[in-house]
Amino acid sequence: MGGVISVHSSRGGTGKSLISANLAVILARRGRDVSLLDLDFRAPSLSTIFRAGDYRLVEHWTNDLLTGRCPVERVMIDLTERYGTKGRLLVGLANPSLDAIREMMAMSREQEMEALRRLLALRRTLTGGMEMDHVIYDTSPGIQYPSINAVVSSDISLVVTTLDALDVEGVRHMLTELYDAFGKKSVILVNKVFPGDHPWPDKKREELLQQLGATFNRPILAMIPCYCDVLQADRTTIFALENPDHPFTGALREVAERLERVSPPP
Amino acid sequence: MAAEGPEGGQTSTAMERVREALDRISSKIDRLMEMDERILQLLAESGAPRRVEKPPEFRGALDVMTLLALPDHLRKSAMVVCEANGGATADEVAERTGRARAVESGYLNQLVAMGHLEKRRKGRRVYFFVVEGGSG
Repeated sequence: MGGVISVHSSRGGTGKSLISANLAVILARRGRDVSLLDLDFRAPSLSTIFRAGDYRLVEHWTNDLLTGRCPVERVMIDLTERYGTKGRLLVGLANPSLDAIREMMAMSREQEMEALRRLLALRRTLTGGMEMDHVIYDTSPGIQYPSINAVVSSDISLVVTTLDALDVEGVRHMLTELYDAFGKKSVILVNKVFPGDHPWPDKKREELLQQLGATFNRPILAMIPCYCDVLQADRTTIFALENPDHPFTGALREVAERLERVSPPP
Repeated sequence: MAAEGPEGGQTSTAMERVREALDRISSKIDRLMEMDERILQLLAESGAPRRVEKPPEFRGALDVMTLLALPDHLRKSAMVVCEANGGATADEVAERTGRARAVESGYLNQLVAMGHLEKRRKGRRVYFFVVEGGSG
């Protein structure tokens, strides 16, 4: 059975959705069967990245999975052909309409308990029955119901952070208060570390890597430089596909490889 | 290193007997608690006031925030039951948590008393389930 990887962060703006979408496509192009699900119900973004266009045309959303309105087979959109991937690429989008966001934010404790139960069952369906090699959850940041549900129902989390002190402190807090409490495995991805066009000397990079390892007490999967053109790129396309030779794409390929070492496909 | 002598063998046999005895006691406690629950249920059905009212703040759904608020040892047991598809016995939970069956049974019964889990007997085995639709 494949594994479920939740991509999480302590605050917004760390690059979580960009990284999730690109990793899913990179892994599928390598021949892995990948399901990517947007579980950030407060600020859905995969519908923009995957150009759902007029979202009224999408019939079923990941919201419907958690509320039990429809099964996963009807939520997942098959984008294998669109992106020419060797493996299957299935994407589940979260509903960006205000009504849907409001509904998800107003769920009762009982409904959140049901949502967790459904997510645990979803893991069995996607990795078991549907035989996915990787399931990637793009979660909402911080400690709130949708993100904790996603983390608790995952096998491992890729926690994305920047070097901003607020991010670092937030992640440290999350690791002890949430990940340790549930005994959940996690690895850290540090994004936008130093300017991509002015790379740091190896010694300085190594020192930072050791310092971050000690700060988080978790494996640091990668440190990705900050590229202005990535930040300015069209968010309705897959960066790695449009820019296969860009160092950011190279860094993400490396992340995909390392991720498969900690969360191997079956 | 000294080989295990006859005394070592006797100790392990004695330990085995103690473990079996503890398991028997634990099963009996389970049955007594079930009888207690049944009596309370019958009393409630007959309209008589309940002897012990469980504090309402401890009852309800086992959502992630409630799980986070549980003490570590109870959260571990509760998570195994949450992940089990179709309930779990104390033995199954103990196997996953790596704790003694008697200890695990105690924790699971605490979660039942707190209103987060319920137990149902299927033949000779008792299964623990997450309570659905708690009062919250």
